[in-house]
Amino acid sequence: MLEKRAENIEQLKRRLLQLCALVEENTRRSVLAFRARDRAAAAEIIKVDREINDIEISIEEDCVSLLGSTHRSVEDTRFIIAVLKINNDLERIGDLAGNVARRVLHFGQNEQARFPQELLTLAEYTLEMVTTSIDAFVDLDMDLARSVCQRDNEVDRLNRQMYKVVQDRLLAEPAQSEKLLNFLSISRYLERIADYATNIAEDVVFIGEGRIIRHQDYGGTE
Amino acid sequence: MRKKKLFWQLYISSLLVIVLALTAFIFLTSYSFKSILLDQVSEDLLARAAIMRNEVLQLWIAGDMRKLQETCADISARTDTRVTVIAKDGLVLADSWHDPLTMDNHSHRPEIREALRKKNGTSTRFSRTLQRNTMYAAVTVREGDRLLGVLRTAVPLQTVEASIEGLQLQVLMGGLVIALVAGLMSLLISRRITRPIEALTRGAQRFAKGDLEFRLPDPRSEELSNLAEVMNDMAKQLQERISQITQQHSEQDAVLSSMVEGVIAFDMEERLINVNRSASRMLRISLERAKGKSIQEIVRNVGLQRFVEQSLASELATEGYITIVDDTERFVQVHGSILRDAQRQPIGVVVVMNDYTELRKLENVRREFVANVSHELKTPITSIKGFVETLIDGAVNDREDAMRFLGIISRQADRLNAIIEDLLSLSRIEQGSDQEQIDMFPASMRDVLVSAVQSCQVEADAKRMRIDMDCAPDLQAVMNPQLLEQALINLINNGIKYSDEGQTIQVRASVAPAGEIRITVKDEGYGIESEHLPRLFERFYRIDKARSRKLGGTGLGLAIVKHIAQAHHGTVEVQSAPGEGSEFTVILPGESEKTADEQAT
Repeated sequence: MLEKRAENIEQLKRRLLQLCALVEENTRRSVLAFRARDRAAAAEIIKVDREINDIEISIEEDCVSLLGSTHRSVEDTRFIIAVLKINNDLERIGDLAGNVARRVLHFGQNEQARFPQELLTLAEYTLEMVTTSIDAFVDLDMDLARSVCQRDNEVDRLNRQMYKVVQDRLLAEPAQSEKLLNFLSISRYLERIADYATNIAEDVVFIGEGRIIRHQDYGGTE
Repeated sequence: MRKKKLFWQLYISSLLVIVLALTAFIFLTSYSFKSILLDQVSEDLLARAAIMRNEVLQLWIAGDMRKLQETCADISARTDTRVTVIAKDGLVLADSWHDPLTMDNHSHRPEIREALRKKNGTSTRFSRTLQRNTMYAAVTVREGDRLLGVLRTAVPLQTVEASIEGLQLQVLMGGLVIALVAGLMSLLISRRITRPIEALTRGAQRFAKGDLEFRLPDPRSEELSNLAEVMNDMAKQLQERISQITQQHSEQDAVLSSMVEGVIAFDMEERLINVNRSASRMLRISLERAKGKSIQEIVRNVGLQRFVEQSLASELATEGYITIVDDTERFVQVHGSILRDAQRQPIGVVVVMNDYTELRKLENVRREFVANVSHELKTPITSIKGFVETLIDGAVNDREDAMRFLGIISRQADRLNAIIEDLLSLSRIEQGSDQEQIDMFPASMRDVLVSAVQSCQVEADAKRMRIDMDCAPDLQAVMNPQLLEQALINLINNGIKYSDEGQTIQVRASVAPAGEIRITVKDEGYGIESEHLPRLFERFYRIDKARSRKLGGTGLGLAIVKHIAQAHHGTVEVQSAPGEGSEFTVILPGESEKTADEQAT
């Protein structure tokens, strides 16, 4: 979907929102696909990821040409820079969703083993964070953006728990090692998706307040 | 420019008219009074001159100038008039108030010249001799036809002027009083004219604010009364039209919101115009928050975004398929058509969304069923065909092998038969319950349970298993005993198959507090993983295909149980966890529900 060039901030926002929708949907699909062990869906996700990469490049070109134009306010410049960063984060989320899908292709044909509850919860939180961070961007809602940053601690904790769960189960049933390591990979990918969602939320704060809040402690459950 | 109020326009102009008219009146009156008074004075002077003329003539002819001077002074003293006698060449002969010798030549005085020309003349001017405004009147003095000179009488205008001033003052005062009264009246009249107009304006303002129940009072003048009537009519019609529109709007809203299909409309800039309840549920948006925002902001579904874009670009109606990914994936058919205004100009696009996820699921079930049936039938037939061909190829000659092969063929044929039997009974139950042709009557539940347990006793004994039964002897239910028995046999047999040797199966029937009858079959066997539970009652759904086949299952047992329960207007439930056994419950509607059903039909 290489649509026409964005000529102003409004169009740029719309194009980025299209990418948001595509990435969010693909991430959701990747979680559905691994939960249902749906290989056909996984293949489709990997295909859409290539499209995401193309759009990312096209939006980046838009940003560069908009930055080159004159008569820009400070806010507009900040917005374009934030779009550049969010664009990049979205592309990374898309890649990671593609990675989750690739893991699904490695699931055994008739494998029926249950997923650890930690992994399912982590997936749920991650999806929620992606959705919320994009919501925060749409409405430029600073409070919502900050709530995403706090949620990230929770996801990190679950990911660490997954390590323990997999470790214990590896000792108990070494024959299942491949499957267990697949779970661990998925958990790691999802955790990183959550990190990028946090980045997006931080960029939203940057647009709204012009303040860079990266590398800060958000408080939370730790 | 600020508009003048009608009241002031009316009031000020009438005031102006009054002032103008009064001023003109005052000037005219005082002028005519003055001229009448002055005319009287001049005539009086002339008359006095005429009276004195003869006496003056006598003295003049006699030439007694001293006597003339005395007479003049005498007359003057009596009549308060200055008397002057002037010769024809202008020389003053006598004067009542002055010494004639000191006076200059009077031939150029206007009254003298006028009198010499026309026998008499008058003039009013400032007299330097008297230092006053003075009126002069002159008449000629003749002896026969011979002109001797002029006799002049004069009087100062002091008193006349005073009386004129007094008169003018009176007129002015009267005029002021009239002006005051007239001004007051015009104020009242202007008020009276403008007040109903102001009332109309206030009424019209209430109309404009939407208070269409209000009616204007009837003003007394005809024009305004007509206006008020027209405005009241207008308000009434507006009210009717608005209530009509409101009603249409709420009807449309009701239609839109009660639609199962989602309806969502965007303008040419892809901004949300309207969305019905169904669509807002599907897309998780609310009209209040999303109205006027662009589709990219509110609908994070690329499929719909692209579809709307494509529909806006197309003149014709468009159709497409999108998926909405939420906690599950939903499949939606979308129809787009261009919205047009009264001038047939495109103003946006309306998209109708039809969720066909359920339909798709059913379609998948059907497709899977056909594939499964073919597969299930093909397996024994392939086996039979293989062994028959082996026999034809010569194995028939080896009696021992031949008997073994024929045994296999017979078992496979039995299996084929069992599958076909199950399929047939399944379709019989389905058809029967569709057409309400299954015989239903009250029967003893205990009898059904006993005969089902008896049917399974052989298999149970083979695995040294015990079947416990618990049912009140007087428990009755409306049912088809044969079908219900078959359902129970299927459940008990499953329990036996998926349990270890020596375990117990419990069969129990009782009436629940809500009135329905619950028949449970509980085993202590292997149990079932929770992810299989939702699909357990599907046809040919097997948790472990190989194990099921080895145990002689057709994959249809639980599907038959479900259909029998449905034929009884009931349901079937399962509770299970791996290693903890399974509990299947057939729930039949109670007696009370049944009668209620019958009453309804």
